[in-house]
Amino acid sequence: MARVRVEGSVDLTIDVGARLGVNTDSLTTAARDQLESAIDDLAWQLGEFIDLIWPVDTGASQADWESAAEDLIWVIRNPREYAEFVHRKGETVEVYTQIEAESERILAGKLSVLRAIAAAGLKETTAIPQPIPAPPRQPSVVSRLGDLFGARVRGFQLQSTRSRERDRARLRAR
Amino acid sequence: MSEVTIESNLGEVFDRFYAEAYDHEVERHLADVLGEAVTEFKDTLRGDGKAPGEVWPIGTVKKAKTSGRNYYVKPGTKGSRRSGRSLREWRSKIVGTSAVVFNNARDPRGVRYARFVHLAKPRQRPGLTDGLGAAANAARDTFTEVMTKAGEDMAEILSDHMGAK
Repeated sequence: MARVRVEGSVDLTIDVGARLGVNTDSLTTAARDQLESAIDDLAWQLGEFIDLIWPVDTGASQADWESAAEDLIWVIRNPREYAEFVHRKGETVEVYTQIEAESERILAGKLSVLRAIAAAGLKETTAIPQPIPAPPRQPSVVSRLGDLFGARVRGFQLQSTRSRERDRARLRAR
Repeated sequence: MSEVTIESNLGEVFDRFYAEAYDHEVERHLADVLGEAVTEFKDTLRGDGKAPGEVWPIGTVKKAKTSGRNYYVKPGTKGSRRSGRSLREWRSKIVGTSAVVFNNARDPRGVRYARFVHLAKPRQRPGLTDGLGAAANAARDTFTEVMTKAGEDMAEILSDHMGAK
């Protein structure tokens, strides 16, 4: 299973490259683009599934589901502090487990296609002299402040969605 | 690639922070402010959670028995469910010194449509302002507002931190 973190918030992100045994550096640009596009299609399918099965009250947690391709990573996550516990009325099964299972099902169905793209797009490793690699990029705001998901998770731990909704309702009533 | 992208530059103060006064805890604090801004942005777009939404319209769909396709119906219609795809597709990231939100919502045929989303009232005519529909324009205003506030808060944090150095 793909589960990365489930602690109220849910992170089911899948490293598709690792499943295929490749990384972005080992692939041609065309193959990378093809794989990212294919992962994006999987992400779209899962998004539709989420919209179909996720119970909606205020829509806050539905709106915060993210399913998208980032390079060879399939990002699947929700920062809301109660996303883990959402279930359908009268049922005990947590809905995120269904999303997790569906992501695995969708990925399994496409794995042979993804493998074929990756195999055809492996860079030649022989002979051609490689240019001297550029020095590593300086640490930037991208790499450092980039974990907005983690920041949002911390925000919901500090102030719950319910408390936020109360504050917002009060503001609207003014 | 993305249908709607909105960017807010956070300024060169970050360069000074990283060059002269880096501190892990302060950085985490800055990220938390940004995270709150993104949450505020999405919550504001969602409005009170009742279709069609206050800023970003949220449709209600029902599946046709014969074709199996979804079609839009009035909220509360029996057998309907809330669509939420284009609201869900608002995503955020940091690029350089900017906070960026973007929307890649696409239909089953792959057509990206976020910039065509219009507000329920008044109904929008063809001919989009700055290439964006009214809802995307309203989203841009909302993002500008929350990021202005976040920028002020972050500047204050950095100012306190660098002043104490």
